[in-house]
Amino acid sequence: MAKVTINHNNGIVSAYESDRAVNLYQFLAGLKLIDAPCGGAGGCGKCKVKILNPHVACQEKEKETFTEAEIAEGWRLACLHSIAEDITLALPPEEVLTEIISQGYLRDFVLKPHIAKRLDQNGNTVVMAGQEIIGIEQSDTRNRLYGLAIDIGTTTIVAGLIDLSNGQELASISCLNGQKTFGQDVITRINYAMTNTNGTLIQQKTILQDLRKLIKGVIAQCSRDYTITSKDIYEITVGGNNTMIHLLAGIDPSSMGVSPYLPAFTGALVLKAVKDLHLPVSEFCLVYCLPAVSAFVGGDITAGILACGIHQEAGNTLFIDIGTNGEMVLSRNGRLVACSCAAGPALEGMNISCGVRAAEGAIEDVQLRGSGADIVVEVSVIGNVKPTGLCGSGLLAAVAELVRTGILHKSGRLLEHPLVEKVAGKKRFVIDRDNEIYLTQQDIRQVQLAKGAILSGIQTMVQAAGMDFSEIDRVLVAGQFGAHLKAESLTGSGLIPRELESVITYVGNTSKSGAYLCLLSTAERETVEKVAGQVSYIELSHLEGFDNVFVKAMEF
Amino acid sequence: MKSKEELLKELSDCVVEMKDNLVGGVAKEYIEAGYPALDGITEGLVDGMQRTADLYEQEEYFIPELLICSDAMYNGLDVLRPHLEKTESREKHKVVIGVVEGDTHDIGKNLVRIMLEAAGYEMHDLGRDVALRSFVDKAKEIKADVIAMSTLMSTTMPGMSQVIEMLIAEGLRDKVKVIVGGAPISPTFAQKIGADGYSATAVEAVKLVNRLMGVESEKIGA
Repeated sequence: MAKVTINHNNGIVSAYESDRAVNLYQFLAGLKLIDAPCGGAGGCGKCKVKILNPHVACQEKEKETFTEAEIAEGWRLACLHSIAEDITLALPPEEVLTEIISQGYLRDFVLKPHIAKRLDQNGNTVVMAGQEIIGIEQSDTRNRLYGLAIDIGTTTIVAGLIDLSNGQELASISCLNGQKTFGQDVITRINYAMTNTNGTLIQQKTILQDLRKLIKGVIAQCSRDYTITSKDIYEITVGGNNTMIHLLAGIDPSSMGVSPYLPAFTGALVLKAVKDLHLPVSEFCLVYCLPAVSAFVGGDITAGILACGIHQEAGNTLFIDIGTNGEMVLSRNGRLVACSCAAGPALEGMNISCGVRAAEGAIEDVQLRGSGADIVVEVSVIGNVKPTGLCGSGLLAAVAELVRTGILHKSGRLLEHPLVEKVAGKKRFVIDRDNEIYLTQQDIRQVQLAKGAILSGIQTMVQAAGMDFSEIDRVLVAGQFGAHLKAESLTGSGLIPRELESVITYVGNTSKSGAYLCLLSTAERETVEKVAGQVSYIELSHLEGFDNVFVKAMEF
Repeated sequence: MKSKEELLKELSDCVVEMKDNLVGGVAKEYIEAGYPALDGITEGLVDGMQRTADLYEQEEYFIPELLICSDAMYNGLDVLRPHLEKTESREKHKVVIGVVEGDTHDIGKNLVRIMLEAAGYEMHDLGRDVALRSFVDKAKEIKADVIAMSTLMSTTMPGMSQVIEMLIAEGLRDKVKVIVGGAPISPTFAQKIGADGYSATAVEAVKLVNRLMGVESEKIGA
């Protein structure tokens, strides 16, 4: 055994024991002290730790990631080291997400929940799910009827406690998805399920832990004003991508990880909260997961269609959820086409040299003032503190501004400018020299790949519908990513065609608001199931000639 | 009349400057002036592709430029190749390339094929979502020197290792070099499964194969 001593940021020192030869990333991830988008494959450079033992060998990848001074201080990438002897570490400051978007756009609807209670002739309470009796409770419990509307995202989970009698949300809380330690995106999660014994069940356990924590949290949050216990929760509805739903149900997601990317199921899934998932809720509680369209267009997207009502609105609507995967739906007078594209983690600030999550210290907006050689950079930083890097919105704002001012050629190449410098043969644009924040040519290339993926998805769908951009009446941007984003950054960086700038609306967490509708209306539930079956799905990577569309869409 | 050197430079420039419409005319002019087709290819078109690769490495060019430049190169080759002397075509190193079973994302693989082809390798492209067995069968059939496998999805990475195991089982492992690449692949993974090499980009892949084949740089032939 070897001793692992960790000096935490807050001055606390903790000590652990570990078998020798255990990978350091795996060890720290097991303690939930660290997570990296690549899941510890040596790819992303985000699992930074400071090893305080002297003379720790340094690999090529680390020389790219750290400055010489940092390497001398002991900064290393955890995934490239194993625990060979007693080791002492310091961890970088913990990233705290400032806000998880918990609310989403919601249209009007008629309140008529699937779960209802009525009194029988003996004065006992009958619990009904639709027309079916699912339980009988002694005496009159009709005033205790609550539900949860949940969005399970790959990165974050949001839960709202809802009074089923009137639809009021009493509390809403969120947390990071604990499966993060198994990898940042759905493919790495599927891979974990495929390659580890009980990999599916381990991840199911993780998500159920998170849900238990959230249930406890919402009950605690409203305990001052209401006397609700978690046993008063009779129904849970869940919007989530199809991988998340498979893992929640403990169903092997492997088949979605390989072509032809077939899920084990797409229809709405109903589980028993206590028997199947061991959640601390009413013994009669059901868990309803919204239906998916395909492996990569899931219940989070059908929830978005439902919440925004794009299936029933006249006119043409483009709905986009931007993340590691960009999912999108195009409605032509209610006829729906959907696709999903692999945008990669760049837009979430990963794979970007100065990339950070949207937390305190992140630059969320960049503006270039002046013109020509006199251009100066202005930034806005979350929390108004010393900037630590660029988050997704800052990254796109910077790229959009570089395109606008002509410092970035349409091919994606940085042109000559006083703020463009070359270091060791590599070009970069200086955003904040004092705080060493730069946008490198390589970063711009990463954005180019992401924006090529999204734009080519949009183009392909618009083409499949036989339309052109001018016919699109509105663009709805959903998800965590869009919140801090200006419409002009989305179009200026070329993710969304410029002619659509004036019709972009941010709709927030529609995965949760779609789940909310299904919690409060049986009719909405039937609608989403019908709509999910009517969406035609385009698998972009199977299309002939998609390469050309993608490559062309990389132009700014 | 333009000198041979002038025309070679024009051919090379047409490739670098992405003039895929003009290159055919220059190639025609070059042939009509009576200069040898082989030099036109190696010192003109391939030289241009090499300069393109250099610009890619300097981050001046990116994937779209590589593809458009290669279009220009192929347009030039279409004109010059029919004029090659029979004796000028020679044995080339053979590479079997494909995206492993389970994955259908093939842009990266296509780039590697193009760059290796420009560097003078005989490419056998099996496409995408390729049955693992096919890599081995094709390599056996054509006596390949190199098997190149790529994937974008970590879920299909184990297939690469299975191909290597099949090669070992059939006693072919020492007859063929195996290289791997793709977004989720790392040098550590390549080492772990016993591949002969990994490259992060298409341009690097050429250097890698050159090194494995023990050649300075291959030149394109017929």
